[in-house]
Amino acid sequence: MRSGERINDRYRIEQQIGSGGMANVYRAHDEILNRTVAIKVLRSEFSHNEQFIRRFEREAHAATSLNHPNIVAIYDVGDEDDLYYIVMEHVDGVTLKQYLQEEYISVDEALRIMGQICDAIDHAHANRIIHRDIKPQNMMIDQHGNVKVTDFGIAVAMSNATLTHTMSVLGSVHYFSPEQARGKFADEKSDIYSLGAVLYELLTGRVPFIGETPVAVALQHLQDDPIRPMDLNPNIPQALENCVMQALSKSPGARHASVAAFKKDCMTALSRERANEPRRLSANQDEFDQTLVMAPVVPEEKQDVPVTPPPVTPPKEQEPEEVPVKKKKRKWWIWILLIVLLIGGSIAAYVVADEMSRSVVPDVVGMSIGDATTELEASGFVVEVTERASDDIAEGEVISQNPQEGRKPKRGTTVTIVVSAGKETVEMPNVEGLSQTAAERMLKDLAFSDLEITTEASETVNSGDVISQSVDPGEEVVPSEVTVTLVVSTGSNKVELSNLAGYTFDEASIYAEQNKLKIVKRDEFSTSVPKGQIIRQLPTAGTAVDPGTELTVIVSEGVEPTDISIEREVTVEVEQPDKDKKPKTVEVVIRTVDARGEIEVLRDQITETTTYSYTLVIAPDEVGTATIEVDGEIVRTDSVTYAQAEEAQ
Amino acid sequence: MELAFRTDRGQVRTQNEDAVLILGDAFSGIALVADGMGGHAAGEVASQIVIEEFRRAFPSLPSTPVDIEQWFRHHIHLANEQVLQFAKQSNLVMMGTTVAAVCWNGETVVIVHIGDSRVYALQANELRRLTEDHSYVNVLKQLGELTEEEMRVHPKRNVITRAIGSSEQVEPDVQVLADPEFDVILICTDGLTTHLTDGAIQHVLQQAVSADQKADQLIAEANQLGGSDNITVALVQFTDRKRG
Repeated sequence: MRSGERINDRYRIEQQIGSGGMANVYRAHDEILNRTVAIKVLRSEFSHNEQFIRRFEREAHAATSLNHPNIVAIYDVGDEDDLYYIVMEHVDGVTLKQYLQEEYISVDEALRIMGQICDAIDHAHANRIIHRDIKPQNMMIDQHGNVKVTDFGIAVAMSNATLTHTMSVLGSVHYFSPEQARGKFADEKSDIYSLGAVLYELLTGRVPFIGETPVAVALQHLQDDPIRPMDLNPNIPQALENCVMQALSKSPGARHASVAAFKKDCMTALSRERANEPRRLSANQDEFDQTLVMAPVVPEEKQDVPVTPPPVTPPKEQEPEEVPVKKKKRKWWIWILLIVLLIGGSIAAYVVADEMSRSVVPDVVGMSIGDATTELEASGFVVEVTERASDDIAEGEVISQNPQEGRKPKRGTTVTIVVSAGKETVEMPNVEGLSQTAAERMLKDLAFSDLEITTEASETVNSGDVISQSVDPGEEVVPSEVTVTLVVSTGSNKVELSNLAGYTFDEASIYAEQNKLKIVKRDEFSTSVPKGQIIRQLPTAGTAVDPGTELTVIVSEGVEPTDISIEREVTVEVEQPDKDKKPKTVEVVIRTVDARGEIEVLRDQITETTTYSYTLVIAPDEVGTATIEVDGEIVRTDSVTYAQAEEAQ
Repeated sequence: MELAFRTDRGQVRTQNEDAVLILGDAFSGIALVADGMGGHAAGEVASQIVIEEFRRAFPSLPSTPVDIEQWFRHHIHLANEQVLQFAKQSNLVMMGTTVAAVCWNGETVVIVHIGDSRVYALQANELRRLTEDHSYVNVLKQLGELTEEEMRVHPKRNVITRAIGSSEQVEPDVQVLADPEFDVILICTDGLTTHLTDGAIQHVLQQAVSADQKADQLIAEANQLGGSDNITVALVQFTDRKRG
């Protein structure tokens, strides 16, 4: 669609503002209601699939019933000449995805945004519409910081109806639920999972699962636990992490009962009452730690806790310290001990012993790994170091710690510190032999931003392909810190010689000049090639040669002229004396000077008139001459030119 | 040896984006199916490009197993380049094609595939699936996340993870078999396997009828079960095979 084009005689296209695999989005002006709108137009490739179109329209129509300040309103759904489109409220702003890339978001801000998203989804669920494709790309943030969610239900039309093969439309795998990965129908609980994934990203700046391919990400949704948000952002309180992790439960039943419950859980996470909330146990862990099954630990105060699988304790390194549940348990133990100890009469001793076996976790965030280790060990803790790449925090500096400062776990507890491994390095890929565009795309995907292209002729690398790269493949580099120079082939400099046979020398000279070749002419006779035309060439046609190469053309001189033999006659007259007289004798000598040299061809004595014949052999462009002497005196010279000889033949 | 092929639009689609090629004789030959994708014309072009590439290449089919494998990879690569080129020129997104091919020369049988078109072989009345689909659902199945039945109804069963035309580098799976003693080889697009289970296919292939009749029957059964996609089959039946 071009700007100025009109849809349905009503919407004048102004500008393309987005594009996706299946549809493009334009800003347009609604000339009837005189307002700016956004129009989503289905790509023409898909406008022939009837089943697809039906779903596209049905889902879009369903979404028109939603009316909520945090939902992008749908004004109109229509089609015109195979053009299927949805007219929507135009939001002057950026997508949440873009917003996240540009802005640092505090925990408070994350919760404010999440609250609005939850309101939108909750409203949709109340109208029995499942979003099914919740992702930051489907949310707009306007100038006032308000969030508006869009694309309700479209995901269904996009996926189910396109039975035709596709390579790239697995959907938004980063936010989809395990049941969606498995192909089960998505319901409210699936939306809650996706909300959890969005909240995870709002809080940590990254999606829960990162993989090389969409399939790899889908598998992680099915099989892996995400990194704990608190390990990525120490500012996140435990209660909020609990909320995120519960929404991200693999089993729909373990998630919050409703969007409203999820929202309430998020929004109260910063409250004072929940400041000491223990790490909530994830329902996912039962699959992984069967061997650690111990007594059930169920925090009674939480109503929405997973119950389906047999609850287990988390892996050791995640064992929470000072959890209220355990406190209760401990208190219970204490009571038993108390009774026991009452008998022994030394309660105080126990309490002191317990107190002495604990230690306060120091704040080591920002310290060097050495200092942090020393400090923690001095407090009686075991230190475990995890490395993580960081663009902001210097290498060797502690990014976060767990447990956090001020906690009082037992001495000997393992404190995990996350230490910056410096900026994230990537292994330099080998792009040699790739096309320039493919190489650039690959490098940009790996965040190499500083690319320089130089060109060079090459005999072996096709034009447009990369000949070499300035950073060796396999080298570990920080993409933002290196300049990668790609040498791109301009193809071969060599000229593949044309077949010049049949050309004139002048034509060949022009050819040579155009191709920067030195031309050399050699002449040769030819019985088959007309005079003036090229017979053959050196090097031969098809040979690839460098500029400046000598090109020898052999030009026909026509049929090779040969010596011509010509028979000539001469009659030497002898006067006849009277009958009675003795005949007179004369001496005749004939000499020829011709191609054979000087030859005396005849010496004779005659008494009567005699006719002699002799041969002249005349070389091209020469003259053959015969002299006839009678009695020592030249009586005649007979000169024949080559041309005359040719004519006489 | 009998060769047979059929390609059918099915009951739902308005176009046939599948293509099929069978060339050769009992000594050497190639049978290939391609299932194009990308909507509106693009799919047809993509599958035809592959067919034409191998039609042209067939006379240069080498004789040793190693060379045949190389030959296959080379011409797949060339076809891929042409599809990418065409998509670029015509500004088409997601243009591509699957390919499943079997090539025989003497006693060597080479099987190549990209995407979810399949190669089956009937041997001693047992049907074997010789290819692993390059599809999202098959990855999940291989990891035990989906059953064969769940795979067949998964809404994303159309998502394939490898295709000619998907990227500059496309690697086919290649299998080189020495004298595998197959009785029948079936190469087909997913229009067949969406509707027919392996059991149903085996049932058809086991019958003592001609390759042509089997091909007709496979197409007919897929159409009776809905014919939701284009259906293409290529059959190679080794009638003179002496079994020991």
